[in-house]
Amino acid sequence: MSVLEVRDLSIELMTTGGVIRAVDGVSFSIDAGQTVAIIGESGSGKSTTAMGLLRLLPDDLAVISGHAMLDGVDVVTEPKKFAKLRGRSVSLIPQDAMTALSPVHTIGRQLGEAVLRKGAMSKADLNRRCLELLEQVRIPSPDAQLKKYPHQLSGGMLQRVLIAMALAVDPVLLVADEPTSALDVTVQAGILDLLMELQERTSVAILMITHDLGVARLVSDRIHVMKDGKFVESGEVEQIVEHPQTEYTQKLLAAVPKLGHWDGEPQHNAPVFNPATSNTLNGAHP
Amino acid sequence: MLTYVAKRLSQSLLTIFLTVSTVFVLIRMAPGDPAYALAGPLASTGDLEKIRTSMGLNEPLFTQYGIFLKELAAGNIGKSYSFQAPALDVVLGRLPNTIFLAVLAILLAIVVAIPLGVWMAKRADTKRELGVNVLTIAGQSMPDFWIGIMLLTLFAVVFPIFPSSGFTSWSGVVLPVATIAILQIALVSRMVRREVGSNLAAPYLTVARARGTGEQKLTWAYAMRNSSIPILTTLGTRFAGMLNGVVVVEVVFNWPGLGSLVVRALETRDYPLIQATVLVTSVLAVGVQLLIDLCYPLLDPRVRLGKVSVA
Repeated sequence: MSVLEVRDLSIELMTTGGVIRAVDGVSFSIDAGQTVAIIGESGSGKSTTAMGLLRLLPDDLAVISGHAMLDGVDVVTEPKKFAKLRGRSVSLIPQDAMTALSPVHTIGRQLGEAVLRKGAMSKADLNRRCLELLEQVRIPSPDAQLKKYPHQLSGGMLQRVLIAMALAVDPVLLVADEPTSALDVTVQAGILDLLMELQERTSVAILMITHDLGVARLVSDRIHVMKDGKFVESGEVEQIVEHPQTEYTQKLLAAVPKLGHWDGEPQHNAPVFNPATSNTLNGAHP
Repeated sequence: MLTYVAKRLSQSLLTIFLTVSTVFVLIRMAPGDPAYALAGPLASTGDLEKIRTSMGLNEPLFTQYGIFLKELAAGNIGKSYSFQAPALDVVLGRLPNTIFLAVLAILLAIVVAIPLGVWMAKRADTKRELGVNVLTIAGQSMPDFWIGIMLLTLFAVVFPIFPSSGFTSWSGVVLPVATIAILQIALVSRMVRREVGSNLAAPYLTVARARGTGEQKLTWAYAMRNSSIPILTTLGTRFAGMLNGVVVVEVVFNWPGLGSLVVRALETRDYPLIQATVLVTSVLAVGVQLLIDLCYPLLDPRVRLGKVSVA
């Protein structure tokens, strides 16, 4: 059974330049334990889709229509009911970990708040649960981290804290909005590994929003390619990557940087620095 | 932390010293002669000269300054010419009236401006908010003497609800406090709107909302808490400014505070009284500022660790 079933979702944004249809009738579903990625360039509407599904867009600036069933609640037509699910059945892993936590509150306080969404518990239990969660996302010496403030942790550590926070309530769906874009490549891999491992254990469904085809390919089961608010192509990962049907997807694939052969011809006609033929540092222009 | 306190304390002392010294020189450079004020318009040139010599006003400026510093070090600011009493005593006698006014005005400003500013931040750009916004612009643009006279005319003359002047009963407090508070409310609420507004739009707030945190908690525990440093700084500066004597308001309402005292001291060129007022008010202003600076580390962990410097 699908955890999230989206049918004909549209989101219109009121801007100073007029009404923009940022999301234009998209439909998709995610099963438990599955990861679905929405990829596309900036402005394609992928983040708006995610934020709209969480009802985190301001009501006076965004009009949502269509259907989106999550845990028996229609996100679009039952916003009050859904507000109770937010942070319980569905949680968010945000884009930029460095700005995602309040700078004047400790990690423990903010993590504890997420844990308490499931219900009141004693201070000792809360502390134990927080430590357990930080251990789950492999944060070293969790006891010390709980007392720290966000600026005392690195971006990668903060993203781990945010993942712990998102998992604190055993959600059925995780919405990951570019969870690794703000991180170093080496840290990225660790975070993605962690996400997949946690998914395997909890069989949480993940909606992954990314512009990075590499990320989408690594973690997801299905990919939707989004452009101008519409899905231009949808399918299994292999199908999208090996046999892209549309020109847009082909371009997205081509935009992924590849390493050329060490001694082969340079790709395209890019000027290449060749120490053998140059006598200046600007060897590309002899 | 201790070196930080020591550093700020020595800076404060230097500020007070420089303020007092500057005022010492300035009032003597300004036109006017205390001897005239003391002797009256019918005094002869000889009388005036005698008075000047007896008060040491014929000495060169440097000598006068030297004497002033020596006396100051001994804790002596001199006798007020017009009150014929130690100037410091005269000032300290008036101080409670001004502090009373300032405390009431700042409390009123806090009680009204913070909820108002938060309300404006949450309803930003709606029609009703726009109306209130225009009112706050009006509030900060109207000069205080004009507000004072308008309130006087309206509530003491046309509708005689409150007394027009003096500090004889509690009802006499209402109009002066309201006059001062209107400007403060306008300024502080706009400032709260801006700060809380930017925090309500911050990514961390969306993330907190995503984890199901309630609106009240988001507003007060997160947005307001994160705005506390700039808000406290503004309130502190405003309060310190009021302690310097809410000059115009005190004159309009004939309030027996520092403001009306300093106007009288300036009119009569009562040098010791002016100096005593400046000394006391600068100590207070710098003291309040120091207190606020020392609060920063309590409010923001980043200041505690010296990562962000708050100028």
